[in-house]
Amino acid sequence: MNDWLVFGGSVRGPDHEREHLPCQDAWARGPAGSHGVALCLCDGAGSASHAELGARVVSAAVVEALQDLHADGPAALAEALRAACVAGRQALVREASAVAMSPAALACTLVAVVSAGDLVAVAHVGDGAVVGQRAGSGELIMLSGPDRGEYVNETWFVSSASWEARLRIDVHTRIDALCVVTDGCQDACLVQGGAPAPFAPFFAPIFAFAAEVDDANLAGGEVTQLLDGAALRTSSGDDKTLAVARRRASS
Amino acid sequence: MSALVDRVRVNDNNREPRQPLVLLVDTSGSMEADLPDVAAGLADLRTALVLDPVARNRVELVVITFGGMVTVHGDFGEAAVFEPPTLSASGDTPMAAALTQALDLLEAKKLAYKASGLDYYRPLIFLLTDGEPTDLARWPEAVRRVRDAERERKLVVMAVGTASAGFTKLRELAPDRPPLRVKEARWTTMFQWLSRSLQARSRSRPGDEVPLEDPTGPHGWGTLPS
Repeated sequence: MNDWLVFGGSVRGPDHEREHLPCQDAWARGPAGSHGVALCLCDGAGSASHAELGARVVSAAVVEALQDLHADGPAALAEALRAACVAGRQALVREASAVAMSPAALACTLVAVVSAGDLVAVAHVGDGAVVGQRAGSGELIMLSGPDRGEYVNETWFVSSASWEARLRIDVHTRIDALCVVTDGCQDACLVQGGAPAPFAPFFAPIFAFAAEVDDANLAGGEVTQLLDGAALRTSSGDDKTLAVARRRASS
Repeated sequence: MSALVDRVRVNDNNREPRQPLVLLVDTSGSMEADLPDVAAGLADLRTALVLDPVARNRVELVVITFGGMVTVHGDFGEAAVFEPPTLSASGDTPMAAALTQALDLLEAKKLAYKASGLDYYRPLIFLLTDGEPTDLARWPEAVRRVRDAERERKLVVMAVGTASAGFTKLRELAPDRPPLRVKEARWTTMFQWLSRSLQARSRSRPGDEVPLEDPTGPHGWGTLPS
């Protein structure tokens, strides 16, 4: 049995409903080796004509590349995650060629997480965020924050030729649970400013909920209900994706 | 166990990102005939922005006039509290000094945003004039600063000339964004266009491109000067 329970949801934002645009977020999850877990969230660029395709292809390819993970130690885990991101980027370029478009037409951000034993590695290009819960203390930790240009409507995409210069990979230990969000959730769940911080009244109930549930499908339904609820719809008109992974109690 | 949606609290204290705008208005003597229309356009712009629930808190603007001297009117603040100044025509056209002042104000504004942790969109400078600068000694330096700022994506400068304006100097400002001539004093149409552009920009999300709506179409307010 896998050591982690993973659940989440993805909804189209009110702005995209009004503009008859599809949900341009996508996410994927899967096993990483015999006990670990991999998940990847991608947020398609509003200005890209095939953004939802890019997001779907990249998230699926990253998770697939991690399914046979054998990584011994933090450096090997970071390297495996980097290789998975390269595989995601290659899938985007391949798909763009298949539909006779430039990679920029499939532009999307990338946040990927993989676990191996006590280690959790996070890879990130662009905005979105990963918040972790420290084992034992329950402290909320910003594992990876949004990265963007000087202006609020600019960010970085995995489709860009210089994407590797914006790729951040960090390895963490002693993480019991983590929550990954796309940009549409950021205003609602972070305290914005110079260095964004997790908004505890948002994340603490999510981690408490994660500790109580065992059925990933039912829990995912509740996430969808949260993302499509009045408070989050008011907070942002953008598409929203939120995924949670929590370590199962060792038996 | 209550539903997740009822347990999670959303942070509604994050402050809105800002879209700064400097309106540079030529109030030299020769603008006398156009100023009533420009003033009416500014009043319309104010109304449109105040009525927009997003733009009213996100757009921050200030008017700088240049006619005989350069004057900054009021605070560089939210559209919700913007009061258009009274415009009166007199004197020569210190356009270089006005542009320099606009660049300095925007640099200071960005520093203030950063200091208080506010996010912002790329600033806009909107220049309305009927002619050519008279402070020619300062002009080359002003042009260099504007072009450097545009190349470094620090801001967007848009120059608009009246029906009788000369465009030789204006063209030097932004080689990639030619100045436009206002058709038949369609100032009202132009200000409506500006308020729509600001509303669209102030709503854009990461990854959105916000091209300015083409003002040179059949129903637009501008033409490319020949």
